[in-house]
Amino acid sequence: MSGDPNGEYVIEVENLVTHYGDRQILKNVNLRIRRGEIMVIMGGSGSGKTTLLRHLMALEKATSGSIKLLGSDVTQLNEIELYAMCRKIGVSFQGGALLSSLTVGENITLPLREHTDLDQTVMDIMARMKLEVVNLAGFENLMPSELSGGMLKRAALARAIITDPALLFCDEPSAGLDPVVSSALDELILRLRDAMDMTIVVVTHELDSAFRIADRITVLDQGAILTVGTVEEVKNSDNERIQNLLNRKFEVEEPDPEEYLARLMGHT
Amino acid sequence: MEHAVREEQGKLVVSFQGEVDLEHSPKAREVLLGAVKKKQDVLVDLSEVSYIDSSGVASLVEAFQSSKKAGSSFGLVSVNPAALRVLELARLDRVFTIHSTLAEGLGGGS
Ligand SMILES: Nc1ncnc2c1ncn2[C@@H]1O[C@H](COP(=O)(O)OP(=O)(O)O)[C@@H](O)[C@H]1O
Ligand SMILES: [Mg+2]
Repeated sequence: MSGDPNGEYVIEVENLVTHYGDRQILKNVNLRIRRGEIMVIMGGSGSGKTTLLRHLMALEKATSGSIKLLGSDVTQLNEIELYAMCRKIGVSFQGGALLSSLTVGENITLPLREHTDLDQTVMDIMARMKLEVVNLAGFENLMPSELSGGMLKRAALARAIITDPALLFCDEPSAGLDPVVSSALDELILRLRDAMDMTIVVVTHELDSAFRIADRITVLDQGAILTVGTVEEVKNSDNERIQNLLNRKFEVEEPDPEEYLARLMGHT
Repeated sequence: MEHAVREEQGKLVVSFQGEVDLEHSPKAREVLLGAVKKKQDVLVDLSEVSYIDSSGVASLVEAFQSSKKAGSSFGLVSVNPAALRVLELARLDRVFTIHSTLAEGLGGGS
C-alpha cells in the first residue's frame, strides 16, 4: 500500500528559502507529499535535510515561501493554531533522545500530558499500546539508560506516534543501528503507514533503508532539490550527482569550510 | 461525536457516531464506564464511527477490563476496516470479542 496517486496533498512546500545568518541554506525548495505517502529525503551531509525537516515541523522561520501542512500554512499560524497543529505531527529527532530522568512510559506519554487532559489510566494504556506496536511490551517502567540503542529508537518512535499524528517526521531513525535492527525499524515505519494511513517523511542516508520504505525520494544537494522521484526513477537516473549518492560518494565530499568550523566549535 | 445507550435483549447497547478522537474520547470513556457499572452485558456499536484514535481504543480497553472484573461480557460490533487496522496494529483484535453485526452480538451469548 502506498500514497493514493490521486490522494490529497497534506504537505505542500512552495518556494521555500531560508538563511542561517547571511548564508542561504534552502534555495527555493518546492515539494508536495500526498496522504499516506512515505517520502525519503536524501543528500550529502550539510545539504539541508535536517533544516528542511525542521521547517516542516514549524520549528524554524523561513526567509520566504510557504509550508502548508494539512491545508494550513504553518508560516502564518498563531501560537494557539501552532499548538493545535502539534498534536497532528509526530517527531522522532536525530539522536532520538528520551529524557533520562523519566521512565520509558513517562517519556512516551509526555506529549499527551502537554497537549491533552486525558485520564492517567487512559494515557497509561495508550503508552502500553504503543510499546506493543514497537515491540517493547513491558518496558514502560524501565529508565532510558536501561535500553539498547535500537530500543531507544523504537521508544522514541512510540512517543512520536502517541497522539496518532497524521504526519510523522523522522530524522535519521536508523543512524548508528546495525542492519538487522535498522530493517526492523523500516518494517515498523511501513506498518504504521499501512495501519494508520500516516504520511511519513524520513531523512536518511542509508540507501537500503530508503529503497525499502520510500514511495518517492527527494534528493537535496546544497540546499536545492536535485530530483524527486520513485525509487526506480532515482535508481535509473543518469544524473551524475545522483549516481554519486547511490555509490555512497556523498559522504566523502570535501567538508564545507563553514560547517567544519562550526563543528569544531561544537555548534552543530 | 454523538452517543446513545439502549437496552436490547437484556444487553446494554452503547453506540457512538462520528469521531472518537482526543477531544471526544473522555466523553466516550465516561459513557462506557457508566454502562459497565450497571453490571449488565455491554455491546459497543461502532458502525457509525468514522474514526477512532488510540485514546478511544484505550477507553474501550479500560471499560473491557472493568466489565471483566464485574463478571459481565463486553463486545464490539461493526468495527470498520480502518478501526480494525488500528486494533490489529496493537494486537487488540485478539483481546476484544468482535461481532460483525448487532444481531450476532445479541444472539451469540458473549
Ligand atoms: N542552527 C544553525 N546555525 C547555523 N548554521 C546551521 C544551523 N543548522 C544547520 N546549519 C548549516 O546549514 C547547513 C545544512 O545543515 P543541515 O540541514 O543540518 O544538513 P543535513 O541534515 O543535510 O546534514 C549546514 O551547512 C549547516 O552547517
Ligand atoms: Mg541532518
